[in-house]
Amino acid sequence: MTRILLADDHPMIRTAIEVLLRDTNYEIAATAGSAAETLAKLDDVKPEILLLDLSMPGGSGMEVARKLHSNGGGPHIVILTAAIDDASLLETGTLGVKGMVLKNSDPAYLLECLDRVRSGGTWIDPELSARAQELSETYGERQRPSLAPRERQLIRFVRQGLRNREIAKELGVTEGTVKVYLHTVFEKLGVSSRTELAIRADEFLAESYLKK
Amino acid sequence: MGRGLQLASGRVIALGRLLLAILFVAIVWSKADHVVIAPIRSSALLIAYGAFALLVALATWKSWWLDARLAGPAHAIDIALFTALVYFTEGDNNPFLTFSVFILLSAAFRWGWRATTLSAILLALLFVLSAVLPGIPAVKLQFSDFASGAGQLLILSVILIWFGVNQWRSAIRGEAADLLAEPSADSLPLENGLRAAMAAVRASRGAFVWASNPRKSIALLAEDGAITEVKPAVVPVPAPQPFLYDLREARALMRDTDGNLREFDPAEHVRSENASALVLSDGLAIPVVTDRGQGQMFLEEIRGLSTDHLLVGAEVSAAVASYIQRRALMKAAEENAESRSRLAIARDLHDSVVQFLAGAAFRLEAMKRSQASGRELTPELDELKELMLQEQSELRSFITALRSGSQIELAELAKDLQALANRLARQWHVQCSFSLEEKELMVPARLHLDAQQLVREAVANAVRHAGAKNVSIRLAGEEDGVTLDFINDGATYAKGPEGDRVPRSIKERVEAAGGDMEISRGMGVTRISVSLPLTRRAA
Repeated sequence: MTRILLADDHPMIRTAIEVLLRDTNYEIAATAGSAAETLAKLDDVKPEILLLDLSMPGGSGMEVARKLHSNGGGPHIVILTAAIDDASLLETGTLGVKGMVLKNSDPAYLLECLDRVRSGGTWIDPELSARAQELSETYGERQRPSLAPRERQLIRFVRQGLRNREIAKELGVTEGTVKVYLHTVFEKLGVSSRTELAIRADEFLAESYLKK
Repeated sequence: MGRGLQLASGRVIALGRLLLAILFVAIVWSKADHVVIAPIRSSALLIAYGAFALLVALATWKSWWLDARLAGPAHAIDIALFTALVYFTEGDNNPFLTFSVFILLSAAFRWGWRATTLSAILLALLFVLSAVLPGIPAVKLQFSDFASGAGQLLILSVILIWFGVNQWRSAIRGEAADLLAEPSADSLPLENGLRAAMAAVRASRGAFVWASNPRKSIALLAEDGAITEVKPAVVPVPAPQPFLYDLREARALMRDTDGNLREFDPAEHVRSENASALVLSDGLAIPVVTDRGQGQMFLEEIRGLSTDHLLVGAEVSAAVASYIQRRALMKAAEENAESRSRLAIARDLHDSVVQFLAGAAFRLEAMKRSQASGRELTPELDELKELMLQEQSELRSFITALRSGSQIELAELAKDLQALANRLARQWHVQCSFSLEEKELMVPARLHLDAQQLVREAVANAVRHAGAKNVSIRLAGEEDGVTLDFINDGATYAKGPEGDRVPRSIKERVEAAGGDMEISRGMGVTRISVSLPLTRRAA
């Protein structure tokens, strides 16, 4: 039996997946409804696969994936989501995500994906893999300087509408340092304002992951 | 001018007093036998005055507090010295008469026209009194000397009183100030700006050419009290400062950054297309530049047009730009609120319908697999049917809520009104308190906007028309709506045929929202009680 931690806050999905995995080689060892609960239960349950929704209260599934990636080791991550933006889609490739299934795809895909991941492979939803391909064709030709992880983080904060002081607090640096970072990012990307950076954040983040 | 004397009329007055005192001592010493009666007493008096002037200058140079506190006593001593100088000096060729200019000018600088008028009357009385008082036998009053002195004093007084009346008075007052007060969501910023500018300079005709971006321009023409749009609009390069123009003579005057008048050809900043489309001839042009766009107003048929209007124009330019900017910010905030509610709807749909359908698909897949393994499907089918019925009912109430507009909690509305009350208190310099009678209630977004607008209008009205110093706002949730009470300690509203005349702007807004209002007076306060329904009644 392969033990799964199911991280999804929607009760309908939780029940449905439990029913779907009945009589299979998978067992739902625990469920979690938020990013914090997921991280806490991972330690307790030690599952082989984390079935992760991206949109959860109190922090997104991407944050959980980033955290697991930076800690190293951990379970295989399979993302099960209703939607994913371009930047996150490309970032998953750098975070060692093994599987991705869209909730609006054929439910049979989930079992196919789990089987592939369990046997050490990767499985990406056809719709998402076509999108990733398209993104790399759109941006791949362009020559843009790559962004450091810290700079990507900064762009994400700017996109969320955080002010310099708040960003400084989040990153644990001074406001002056944030200004220097921002200036470097502006220079690198050739943007002239914070608003432009926020509006085009998705594009820059997506491109920066393609450079990895 | 040195930095020490910029924006420091107190220092200029103190320094002027000291220099005059030194000059007086010099005059007395040089012409003692010719001019002054009792020269020793006079010069002793002047030396004492010089010492006093020095002390005042030293004490007030770096202290705005002492400057303000000593201004009155020093002014009284100046007047007393003037009287003494007139009294102790020979009538003809009195060198001290111009001292009155200093006294009146300092009053005009410091206190405005009332103090200047009082000082002028007092000086005139003391001048007459010192001339007719029996005193030192050598003083002989000549009528011609007296008339000349009194005449000079009178003319100077009138000029300085006028100066006192006009020097610090804002051009944005009365109707202009009303038009440029807090902008509302449905106000027309360019029209109001043009009307306010015309009111400020008393122009009978005006035009406003405006471009919010290079491709979108508009020209408004105000004639005979009506504003019409004129096409096509050509937006000239706004001038750096307001300028006077006379297109027939191809003349224009503007003040440069040093305040000097500079002549130039008005063609560049007016454009011949505008001159013919808007029938411009001569008047005052005021540039208006904001980060939402730029334009220029042309105000014509101004009575007594003069270079003074350039200063008024600069003030109007800043006020109109700030008004347009505030209106744009307000509109952006509203659009932001709209897009937030769209996002909220999208999120709600994602969280409910999309997730449910995905879940249902997983359940069906599970059932398909169960069927293959020969399992009984009826219980699962029943469960899925039950879930679908529940979801359907939730979806129906979601759609009902959408139809009635996006909703916010009463507590959220209260939070916004509290912030607004604090802002209005600062804006109008009044005490403005807000309280909420707690109740679990959701209110539609439209009511939220109506309530905010009513608070703005009620406070502005209480201050402007009733002279209130305290306004208290109470919000309470009812079964089918909310009530807003505005209590102010201002004067009674004017009586109409049906009792107290209710402020029109408030009345119209309440009626448009399908609500009711009552106005009552007692214990020295006026209470306007407004009730707004959650759903609009058909008008």
